[in-house]
This record gives sequence, C-alpha cells and structure tokens, in this order.
Amino acid sequence: MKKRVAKTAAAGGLGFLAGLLLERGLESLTGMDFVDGVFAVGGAVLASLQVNRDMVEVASKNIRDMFGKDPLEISEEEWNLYKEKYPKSAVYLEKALGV
Amino acid sequence: MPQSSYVHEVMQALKRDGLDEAIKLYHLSIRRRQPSNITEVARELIEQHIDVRIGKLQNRINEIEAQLAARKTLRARLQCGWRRITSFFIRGKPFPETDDENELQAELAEHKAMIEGLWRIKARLRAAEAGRAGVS
Repeated sequence: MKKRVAKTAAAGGLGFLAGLLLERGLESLTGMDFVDGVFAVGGAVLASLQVNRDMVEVASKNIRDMFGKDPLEISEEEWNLYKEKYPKSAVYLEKALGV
Repeated sequence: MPQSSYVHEVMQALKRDGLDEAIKLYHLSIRRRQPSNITEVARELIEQHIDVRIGKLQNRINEIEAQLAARKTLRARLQCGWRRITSFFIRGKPFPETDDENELQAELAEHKAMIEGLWRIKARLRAAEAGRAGVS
C-alpha cells in the first residue's frame, strides 16, 4: 500500500513538473500567457492516475476518429453530442482533466 | 487481478486496435468482479471503438450503393452495352462488367453483415453489464 502511494506521489510530481515545463515552454515559444498552472495541475492529475491516463488516451483517439479533429479542437456542440451519447466517459474525461 | 488491471489491459488492447481482445478482457473483468464506474467507462470506450468501425463500414456501404445506383441509369446501361459489344468484337471476349458488379454486391453484403455483428456485440456488452449489476 505504502509503495503504491509513494509510486502515485512520484508519478504525480513528475507529471506536475512535465506540465510546468510544457507551460513555460509554450509561453516562451508563443509569447502567450497561459492561465497559471493549468498544464501543471493537468499533468499532475493525469500522472497520478495511471490507468486513467490510458483511458484518456483511448478516449481522445476515439474523439479524433469520430470528429476528425483533435479533442482540443472540437466545438461545444460536438462535445455535447459526445456527452449525450457517452455520458460516463464524458464525465470521466471532465473529471480527469479537471474541466 | 484487481479490476483496474483488467481495465488497463482493455485500454492497451484498444490502443492496439484489438477490439476482439478488448471485448474478451472486458467480459472477463465483469465476470470476475462486480461492474464499477471504471468498467462502465471502459464499456463506453469499447462502444465508441465499435461505433467508429460501424461509421467507416457505413461510409463504404454508401459509396458502393452510389456506384451501383450510378450503373442503373439509362446512360450508364447504354455505355455498358456499347463497351460489351465493342470489346466482344475487338478483343473477342465480353467486357467483365457483371463480375465487377457481383464483387461490389458481395462486398456490400459482407459489410452489412459486419455492421449487424457489431450491433449484436454492443447489445451483448450492455446486457452482460446489466445482468452482472442485477446479480449484485
């Protein structure tokens, strides 16, 4: 149990760092100011839930196959359509990504 | 194995596009353990995969039906008849139009059967989970 908690905490920390680096990198590349810590927190959440990351990956691949675009690019209408058809996955995705 | 391990394996199978394996593992997971929120999400992800396949098959069916319908027009029939006559007199063998049409019809029937099969799999996934949930 202790080992598992330590592993999850380590993965979460790594995810946080990766998210932070991504955020800073994007900010310096694009010059845009992102909402503080969104990527960092998102990275930590995803990294701390190892199984869930697989699910998020599969769900985003499915969304890409369904709508022909990246999950970040889908419109609200398309998201609502997805949510209506697959309510559990939509809620899960929203929770996992902290939307 | 804990349910999360089964779900993890289901996700790995879906990433590899191994729908059959994912379905088998999913059934195993709910046979061994009570369905939970995570298995419901896994089932929906499998269903999404199935729906994507159904969509692709339906697109191909629409394409084939459009091709077959285009061949039924008077102009297409006249053109086909003319091609048959000319190829018979010039090359000495008939134009293989009917073979092509038969192939398309066979492909159409195959795709329709595959869609029916996928719908049945989807129904079975839901029934298995509902049945297992009803037992508890």
